[in-house]
Amino acid sequence: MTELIPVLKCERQFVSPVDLLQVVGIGRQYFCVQSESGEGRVLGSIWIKSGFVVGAESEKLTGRHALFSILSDTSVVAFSVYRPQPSPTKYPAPLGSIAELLLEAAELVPAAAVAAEAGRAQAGLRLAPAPPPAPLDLPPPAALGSRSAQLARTGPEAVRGKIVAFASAKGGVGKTTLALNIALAFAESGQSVLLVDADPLGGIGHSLAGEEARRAPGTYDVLLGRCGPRDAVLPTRVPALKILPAGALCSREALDNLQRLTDSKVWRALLEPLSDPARLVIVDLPAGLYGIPNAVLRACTHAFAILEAEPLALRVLPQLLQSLEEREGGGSRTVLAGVILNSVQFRTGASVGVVQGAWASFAQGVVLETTVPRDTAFLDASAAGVPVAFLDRAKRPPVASVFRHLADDIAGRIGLNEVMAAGEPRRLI
Amino acid sequence: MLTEEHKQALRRSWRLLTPLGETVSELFYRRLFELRPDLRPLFPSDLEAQKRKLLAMLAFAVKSLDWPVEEWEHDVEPEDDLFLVVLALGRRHRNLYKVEDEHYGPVGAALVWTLEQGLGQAFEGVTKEAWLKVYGMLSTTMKVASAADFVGSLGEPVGIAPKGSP
Repeated sequence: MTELIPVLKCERQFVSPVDLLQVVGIGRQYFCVQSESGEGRVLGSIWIKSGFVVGAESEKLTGRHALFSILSDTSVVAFSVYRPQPSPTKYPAPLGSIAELLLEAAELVPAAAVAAEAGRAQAGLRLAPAPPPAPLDLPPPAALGSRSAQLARTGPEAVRGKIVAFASAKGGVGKTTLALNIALAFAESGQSVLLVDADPLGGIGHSLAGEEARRAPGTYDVLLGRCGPRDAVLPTRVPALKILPAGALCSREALDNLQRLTDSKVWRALLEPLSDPARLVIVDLPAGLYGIPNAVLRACTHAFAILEAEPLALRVLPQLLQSLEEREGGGSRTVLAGVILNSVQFRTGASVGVVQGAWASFAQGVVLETTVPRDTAFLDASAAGVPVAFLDRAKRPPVASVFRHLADDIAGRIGLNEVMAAGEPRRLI
Repeated sequence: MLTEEHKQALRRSWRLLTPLGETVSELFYRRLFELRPDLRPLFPSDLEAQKRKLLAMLAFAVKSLDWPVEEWEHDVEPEDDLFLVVLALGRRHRNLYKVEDEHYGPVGAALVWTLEQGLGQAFEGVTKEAWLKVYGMLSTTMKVASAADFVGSLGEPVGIAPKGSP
């Protein structure tokens, strides 16, 4: 004997049948929704299991017809919901999901009947096909970043030069090492470069010997208004290379300023004035796809994805590429300029496999021709706190020459030479 | 109702949010009281337990909505049934915490804002749509609960709370 355990009773004036079916449908138990007339007489029953209608009956009808007649019956004054116990061991085949049936009802039930629902059901129906009307009084976007809006000078004309990001969804792939060494290679070729450390952990500062870059104010101090950008830029031994270190950001500040730090307009307002056609800005990003790395990336003109030549990296790269592509499509001007393979071990099968996999997976030209090999010189350079080219005063490690080629590749990808050389031959003497 | 794509998006975004748990709940309440300072007195002065409840409820909702369609005949216990749990939650909010229907708007806005902060780009498109749907379903259920005369024994808590919630 099936017992009906009451769950709720609600007057029709407070809930439409459409709303009611939808909310019952989020449950997974077996429910029975009954419509009642003023005298407490049951006019119809709808049986629901896990969001599916498994049966319906009204005074004269069964199945879908009963369902549609219950939905459009204007003499209903109240609904009750029950849990039939025990549940049947076998359910009849569903008539359909509640969502589909409500859509169908909206089309089939005569307009007059729907109108007679005194607008209640229609209000509810909006829930079915489209995202819910969501009574969200969202604040206007301007209110979210009014300060940053004042700071930002948006629009393409505001871009003064190339701002290149080195990005990776995964940490520890060598973004900082590459950014530092490539920046140096550009500077040594005569290109004016500003290396910006956007990683709150301060990878660049920690990669360099001496306290200057670690202790000095930097990117985050500028963003939080503690100093001006020009005061924080540090000169280096190579006149064409300047560095904006990360500065200080404690976790409390990060939390308090999360909105600001994850706003790409704020980053654009910082980076764009620092770049100009004669000066390349290279940005070292924190790892990740969301939050701060996402905001910084959106403020850059070009992005290179760094791929460590080991199998896991290849598996997570598609996420980064996809999010970059979304950015390109989403009105952002960040162009994915290529993928750089790092830590390639040409004697290791798995590593070569990743290189081949990368070549095979991406359209031709996506992966840069120059790859960075794994080399003990990187470890030595890291220990000494210098770019790899500066490891030995007397003799450059051979691997340092990779960055010259890489810098050339990158210049080609981002169209740097078009701006720099302007078609003029360079005189040797 | 949620499509498979919505469920996937929810699952994915919840995985991304889980490590940010505390920050998410912190941001949510901060934003809510920024939008509606008058709602602050409805909450206890110490929000810690409240924050845990919010996360537990969201986790429970995400988990409950994510089931394979071919398992529709499987039964769940009443205390694991999203509809019954949220009904009881809605009723408690009305009777014990004096929450009005109009409060669900700002709460939804704070939630969406928080998810936007936490997920960034990952909140756009189908993910946002899925979360809006979920919030729409949950808030409608809670409103239905507060409008209903309960005829049955599903009165006060009756053990109807998400398993594993504090």
